[in-house]
Amino acid sequence: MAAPRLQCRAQCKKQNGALFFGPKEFSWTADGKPQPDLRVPYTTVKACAQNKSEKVILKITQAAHNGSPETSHVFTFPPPNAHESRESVKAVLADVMKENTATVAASKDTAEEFQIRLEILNANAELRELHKSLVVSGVVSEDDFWASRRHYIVYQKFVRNQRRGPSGTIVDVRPQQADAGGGSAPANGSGSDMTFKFTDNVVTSLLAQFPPVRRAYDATVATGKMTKQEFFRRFVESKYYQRGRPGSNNSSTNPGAVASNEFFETYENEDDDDYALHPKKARFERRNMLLDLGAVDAESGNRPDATMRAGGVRASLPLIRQFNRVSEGVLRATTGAGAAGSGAKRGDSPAIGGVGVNTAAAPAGAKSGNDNTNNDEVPADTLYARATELEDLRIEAEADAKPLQIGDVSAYFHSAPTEGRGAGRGGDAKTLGGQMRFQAGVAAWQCSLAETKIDRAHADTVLAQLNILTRKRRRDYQRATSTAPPNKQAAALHLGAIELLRTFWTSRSEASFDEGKMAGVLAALADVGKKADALERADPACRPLLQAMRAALARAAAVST
Amino acid sequence: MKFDLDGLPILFPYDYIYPEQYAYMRDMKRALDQQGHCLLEMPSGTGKTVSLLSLIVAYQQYYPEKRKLIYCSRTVPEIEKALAELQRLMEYRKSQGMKEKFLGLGLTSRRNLCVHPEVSKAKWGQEVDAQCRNKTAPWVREMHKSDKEGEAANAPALCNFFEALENAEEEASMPPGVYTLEDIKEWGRENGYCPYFLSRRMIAFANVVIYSYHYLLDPKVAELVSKELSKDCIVVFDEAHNIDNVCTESLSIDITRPMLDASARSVTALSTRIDELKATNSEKLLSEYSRLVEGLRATQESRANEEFMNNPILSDDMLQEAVPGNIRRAEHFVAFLRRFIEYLKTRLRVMHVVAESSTSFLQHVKEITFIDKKPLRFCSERLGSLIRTLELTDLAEYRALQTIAAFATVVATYQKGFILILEPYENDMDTIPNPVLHLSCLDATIAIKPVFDRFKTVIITSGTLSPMELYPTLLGFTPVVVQSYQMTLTRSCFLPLTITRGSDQVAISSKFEVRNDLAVVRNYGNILIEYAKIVPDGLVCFFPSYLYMESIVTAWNDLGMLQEVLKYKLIFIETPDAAETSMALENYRMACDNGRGAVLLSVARGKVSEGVDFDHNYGRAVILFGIPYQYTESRILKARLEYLRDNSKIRENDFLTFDAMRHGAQCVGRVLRGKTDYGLMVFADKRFARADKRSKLPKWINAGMTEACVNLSTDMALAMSKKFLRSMAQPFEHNQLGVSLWDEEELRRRQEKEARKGEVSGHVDFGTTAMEGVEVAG
Repeated sequence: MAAPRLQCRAQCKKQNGALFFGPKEFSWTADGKPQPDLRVPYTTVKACAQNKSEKVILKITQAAHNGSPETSHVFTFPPPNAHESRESVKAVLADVMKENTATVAASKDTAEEFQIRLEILNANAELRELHKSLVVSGVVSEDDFWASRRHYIVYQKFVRNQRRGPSGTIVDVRPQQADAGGGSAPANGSGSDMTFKFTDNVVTSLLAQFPPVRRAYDATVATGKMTKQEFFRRFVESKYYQRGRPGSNNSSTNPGAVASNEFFETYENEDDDDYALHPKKARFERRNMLLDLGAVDAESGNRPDATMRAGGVRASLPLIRQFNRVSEGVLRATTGAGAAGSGAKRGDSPAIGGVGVNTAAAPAGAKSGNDNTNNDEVPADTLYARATELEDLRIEAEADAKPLQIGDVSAYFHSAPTEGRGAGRGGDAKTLGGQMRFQAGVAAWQCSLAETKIDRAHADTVLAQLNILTRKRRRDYQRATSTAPPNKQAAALHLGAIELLRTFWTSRSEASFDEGKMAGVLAALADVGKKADALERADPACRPLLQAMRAALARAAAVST
Repeated sequence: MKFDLDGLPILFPYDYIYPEQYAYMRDMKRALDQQGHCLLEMPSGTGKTVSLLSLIVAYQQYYPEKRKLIYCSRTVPEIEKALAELQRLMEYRKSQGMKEKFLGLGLTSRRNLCVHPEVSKAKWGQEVDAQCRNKTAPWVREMHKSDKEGEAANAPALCNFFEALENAEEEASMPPGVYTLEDIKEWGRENGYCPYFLSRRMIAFANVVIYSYHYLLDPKVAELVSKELSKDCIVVFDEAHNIDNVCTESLSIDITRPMLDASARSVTALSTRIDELKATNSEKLLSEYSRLVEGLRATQESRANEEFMNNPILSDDMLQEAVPGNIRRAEHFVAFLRRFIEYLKTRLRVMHVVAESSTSFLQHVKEITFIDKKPLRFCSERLGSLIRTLELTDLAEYRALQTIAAFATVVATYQKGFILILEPYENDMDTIPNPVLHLSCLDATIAIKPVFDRFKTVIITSGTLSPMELYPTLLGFTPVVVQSYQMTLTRSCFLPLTITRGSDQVAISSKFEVRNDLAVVRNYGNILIEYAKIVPDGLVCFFPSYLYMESIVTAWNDLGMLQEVLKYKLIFIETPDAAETSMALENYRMACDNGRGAVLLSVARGKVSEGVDFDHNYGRAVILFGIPYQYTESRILKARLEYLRDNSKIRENDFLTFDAMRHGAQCVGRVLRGKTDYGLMVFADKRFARADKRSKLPKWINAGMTEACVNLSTDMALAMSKKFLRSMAQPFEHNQLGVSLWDEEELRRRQEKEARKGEVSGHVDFGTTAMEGVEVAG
């Protein structure tokens, strides 16, 4: 046995004794007794509480387990170093409870999980049956039943939590005819009034496109200094809206435009010049040299000709940056800002959907799926090694054994009766014989094409045989598909037996061996056996299925006695 | 796997080998045996680097000469990857029981290697260089050592890493192994040595050195780093499809007005400094004078003994002479420089385009300023000597002046193969003058000649070297082996498609006259949209120039086409800033990884197209929008074309097409890595359908091009692409073994079969696909 985590003196039920903290459980042994009087597995520790009186007392609550109700044990620590003992016990228990919350919390009947379970049961009739027969009747506990079906819950959780990501489109606001309602803002156009409609979607998109506008929005509208209407009127007047719009009168003569530009200018910083060839904030952390385009060794020579100088079309630079920014925003909103942000230090680059849309990180399931492809935490050298590895020149490693996932359980039973007929072996023998004969025939054959004579009779026989074969195959196929569906009762029984056996074997291997639970399971198994006997008498067709099941039951019974 | 290649045991760090890898090694071994140069074209993504390293390391370790390998690649990512491959190979050799004392390392600029806490923070490479020099220049260190009051306080603080390295004993060395750039930084940091200077010092002891072309081709850098390399080194230029341009670029110099102003300031600073020195301590200047009388005899002697590699800007006859008398005295030299700079300034005032040869330029210089050719040739050397004598600390301020001096030296050294072009305006439409004086090297042989002369074996290799006949002419060498390999495939894992017209049957082309037509722009946009719909994960697009990409992005946006693309994929676009583009790239890859999918718009010949791979999900399709021709109106290009026509008998059009196609092939070749990878290659230009263009594509791409897919409209191409992608997405379970993959057994069998045939020539029997290759008698 492993060394104890902690050992100390303590009173329980007014008897002196010793507390002993082992690797999986703690126990209390009264003085002079060889066996512990009390054993509490760590997994069942629910809480601990202490008093403030002179007596140094610690109350440890044991959660309900295996049918026994929730109980509390009160330990009193004797004087010499009572406080220290209690503190160290508390420390151990705190660790234990932390672990428990990590593992148990998932299986706690939170409202959400309950909902999820209900959904799963409603969607899956077979599971519902099984649940009814085992859990509702109390043979298997709810937690045990779901413990082996975590993947259903994880998937269902993923489906429930999956949210529609922010739309990546760059929304273009265009003036509308008047009489638009709600969130519209009139702008002073040339002569006639124009009306723009800013929906939430549009706002989100705009703020993602223009970081200074976002900063201005956060500083004014979000804090209530300015109305949305006023803000977007300024926006429409400003260069952000006007630029890239042919024929717009964004000139310095328009006083509104000047004022609006000035308004936004206060929120601009030097990094926001989209026309700059080399923005100051652009810094690439060189973890992955394979992507670092700035890592050039010595550049010399004549400068490139006019067509090959990037940024020649100045007007398109803001547009290009806008696309990069929006795409990055979408990406971050879906992968979680942390993962994306670690590489690119881009101070305030926005995640789309900061306004109104919940940018909760993707559900855990989705994240773990990406882990192996996520390059962020990989050291650079591993990255290069991976980038240069030629996988197809390696002998493929044998894949690890994977659990058999049967998507459609009914198909599994479908195949059972045909197997029962024992056709497989005969077929094998036949093909083997055929091969031998063919081999023998070929060995003697000599290639003398000139002497080949084609006898019609041979061809005819072959064709006739083929016809027979085809017909036979078709018949066989029809027969196979027309076989009666497997006995429903047998299937249900089988499923139930599997579940019981699983519970049986897992509870045996557990440290917290629970006699009462085991007895219940065994009784249920015996019951299943009886039912199987009855069923077999009624319908001999399901014998093979039941036989296999019976063998498993027998093993379980043998072990338990 | 382990096998024997004509008596040379080779350890190959994989279980299988591609037939073309075997053939590649075999041909390379022939070249090594014959101690001659070779030219090898090997399909992209078939493990060129690892075969190359396996063979050469085996060769090096097996034979007593232990010929050092100098592996040059174009970009830092390529260097990193080569180091990773070398590391894998050496680990494998070790696991197979080879006990070798082996040192392999990479060398790159200070920016990538600096570990100094402050200097390494600088964003630009030049800043790092300048700051580093300020801390490591000998006189700065001297100042600190002599510890004079005041002087040391003014001088910049020293770099502890460099000091530690300098103080380390001569025998002190690093443990054997392969050091990636990150490793050597780490090791330097731990041991307190400067990784940059450490790797430079260790070059002499390393078995394999991996660095960029510049360290061998750029005369300024090569002089510092590579001149002591011994003659029997094996030199490899990988990714060498663009090597001729690197050669010409390394000797080309631009001069602008701000540079001249800065140099004038530097000259003034120099003369003040000289006056100061004269007043206090004229001994130094005197000793310099006598040193200059001696001339460069020491250099010449070591060169005569073949200790050093030649330097194209320090020709042999120069070494035999003393530095001319009129620039020997410091103040005379400064006056000389001032006069030359003034002359250049007046030249830049000319408001029309001038193109002239170096001879006529020198003639004019002489007429106006009475400056002779000879002192000009010594300009660069003389300035270096002066800077050393004056013990200048802030070298960054003298960069412009150094460029001018280099210009003077180059222009006075070469009468042939160079042209001077003065362009008063940046663009022809501009009205504000921004004059540039280009000194442009037209002849790639000048820069690379010392390399071919010095080293017995130079291997030039890339995924795209077609048409291969051109390279020996362009670079001026005679290869003993010229070979191009095809890709042996069990399934055709790439599909080259040529789209010549849109669904509306309007021909598409990036030809200058039609490229901005609405119909062409729309058709190009449609191709992008349709491919964004059907291609999974990553889609990469290349444009012929920044100008075109930037204008078409605007046009597509106006048409609402990019909005449409955004519905299917995110859009990332190359920007002028490298760091910004790197971030966009990282985001692009993330979008490919997490299934969102993205489109990357970038430029052929741009930064992205040269260094970054788009294998597997990072690039399921590449679209080339137009043929990436160079800008034919460029005067430098025109001059080069003319020079090639007159001197190398290469027709202008041939060269242009060749140049465009190699860059195009380079772009599309980036989608493949290994034979289980797959990708679409879409050539969207009607001119791609013409045989003269297609014939210039590498053989392995051409082999995948069937007649059925060379003249398609958008909808037809889409149908084919859909079918291709669908079939490729199926699990790949064919047995490649024996066809496109050999194991040890298969390889031995083939070798035996060959031996029985008594075949001597290097042809390998290639499964089902016959092997073609051009051979040149050595």
